[in-house]
Amino acid sequence: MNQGIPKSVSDALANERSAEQHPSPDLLNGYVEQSLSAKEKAGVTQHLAVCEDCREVVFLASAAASQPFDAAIIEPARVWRGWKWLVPAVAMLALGSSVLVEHRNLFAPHQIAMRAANHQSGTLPSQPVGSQAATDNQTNALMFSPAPQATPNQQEHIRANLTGRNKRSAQDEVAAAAGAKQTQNESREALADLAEAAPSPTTPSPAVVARNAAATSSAATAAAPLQAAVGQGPSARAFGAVGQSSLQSMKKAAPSGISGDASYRSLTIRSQWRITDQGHLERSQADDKWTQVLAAQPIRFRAVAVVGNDVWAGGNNGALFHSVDGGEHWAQVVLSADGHPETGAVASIHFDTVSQGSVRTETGSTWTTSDRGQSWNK
Amino acid sequence: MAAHDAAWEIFLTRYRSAMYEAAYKVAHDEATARALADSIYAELYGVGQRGESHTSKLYYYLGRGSLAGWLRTVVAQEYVNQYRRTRRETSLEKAIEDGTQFPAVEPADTPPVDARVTAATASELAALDAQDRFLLAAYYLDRRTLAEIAKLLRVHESTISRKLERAATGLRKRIRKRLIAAGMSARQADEAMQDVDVRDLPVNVRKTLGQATQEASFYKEMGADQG
Repeated sequence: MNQGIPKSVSDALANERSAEQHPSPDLLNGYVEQSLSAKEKAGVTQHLAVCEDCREVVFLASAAASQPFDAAIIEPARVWRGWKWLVPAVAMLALGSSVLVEHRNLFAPHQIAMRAANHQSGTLPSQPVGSQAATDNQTNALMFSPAPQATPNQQEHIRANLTGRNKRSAQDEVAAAAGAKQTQNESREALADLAEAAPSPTTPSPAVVARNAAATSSAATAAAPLQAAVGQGPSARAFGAVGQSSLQSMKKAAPSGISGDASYRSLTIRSQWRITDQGHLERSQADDKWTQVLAAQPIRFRAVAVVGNDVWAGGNNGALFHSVDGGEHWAQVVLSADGHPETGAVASIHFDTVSQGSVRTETGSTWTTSDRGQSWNK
Repeated sequence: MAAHDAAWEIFLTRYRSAMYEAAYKVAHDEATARALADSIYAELYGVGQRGESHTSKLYYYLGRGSLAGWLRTVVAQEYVNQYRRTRRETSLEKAIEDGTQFPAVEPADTPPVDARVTAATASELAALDAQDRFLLAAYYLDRRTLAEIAKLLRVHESTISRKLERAATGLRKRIRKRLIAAGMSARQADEAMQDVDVRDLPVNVRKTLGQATQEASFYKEMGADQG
């Protein structure tokens, strides 16, 4: 193999052998999986540029990997996404005022029965828009804690109004938040009261219980059923953030979430997902660095699926998490049938569309949904 | 240090099939894949070829990537090692059997390469970005496809194509500029560039020089691992 060069050159090269070091398989694998630091990557690239053997190793290792990047989704262009939501956003602006008036009174505990009656009769009372800000925080406090005596019809009505509410403009939210400070203490008390009185997450009425992955307070847990409903709308990108037990946190989270500024930016970043051997869910964005997601959850993840901006991740003990904003915020979804929650580890997640998908567990159970995870059939 | 049996059992349970799958994808041959995986098992367990105990290869897994990926890389490295060793031994045996049929003589009609071309090319290659050199070498030397390179680097094929085009074009321009600066006329430089494909000649020289170094140390490293 050295016949093409003089012996003197071969001898000189032979003396340099000891200085030549090949990257370890650990480094080469890190290069293939793009998990190296910038410095390490530069060093390996430098070596690969002149080492045919190591190039062959990384190409063979890369080819042997069975589609490790299935979860990588190339997001549509931002321009298109922006226009896509512009039309419904403008439409919702037009409807915003009437919806606000509607749901403001709807959630007052002493008026729920009356509102339900009005809803059934098809009449919707109106109130002056000027009083909206003063009572808006009360609405916020209640939207996360449905009154336990609400009937299914009332809950449907609540969901409809919540969807409308969350599609308001950011300006409305800011104004509402500012006005809400006047009665913040009252609202906090109302929130606490309702948190105590609210049904547990195992309430049979909502089939799906969504919970902010970061929230652990009873208030946030009690608010779960309605968060699931809110999660249906594209404007609910920040629902993970509004799961905080602090009312002030909710107020701060609402404007940014609705306007979608920070969240919107995140949607345009092409993310890649993987599950490590340790069962950690990790995301990589343009900077080639992997960061652990849902690290606070004591879950050993087994499967992850991405459909557009929806990310589903499942793990042991039937744990299933859902994000509607590309992994910025998460909600836990409980798979249960007849009051019996799923305990088998989630082995695979498959979604044909954003709304239709199935989850298979290690125990052989298959759960299907056709409404983006709102309800599941075993 | 031999591996702990219980840990070894767990390891086998989880990664046995992945190992064979990786070996098959690398070797494209069932028997070779089995032999390849079996030879790696011994190293992973910490047993030498003569049955002596030594440090398990797993000791060198530092977690920069996944364990499954590391195993694939070890399989690939072992395959490259064995493949090259086999090829070299086969070549040597054939040469001995054939008597004097050692290396082919350089074709007499190959025109001598102008030293200025070689020097200019070597200088520009040395100044080239490592990523571009890697792309040029992978595509033009190793004959990797755009799809293979794109998969490795996790970018679109068109991106690789653009980078290759930019790197090759830029390299040609800079070499031409150097040749003119070295005293060639523009026409001479163009002719020299036409006579000698800069994507082949200088890299081939580099390849030839580099091959001896890297191959020797590659064996050395593998030998050290086995020992």
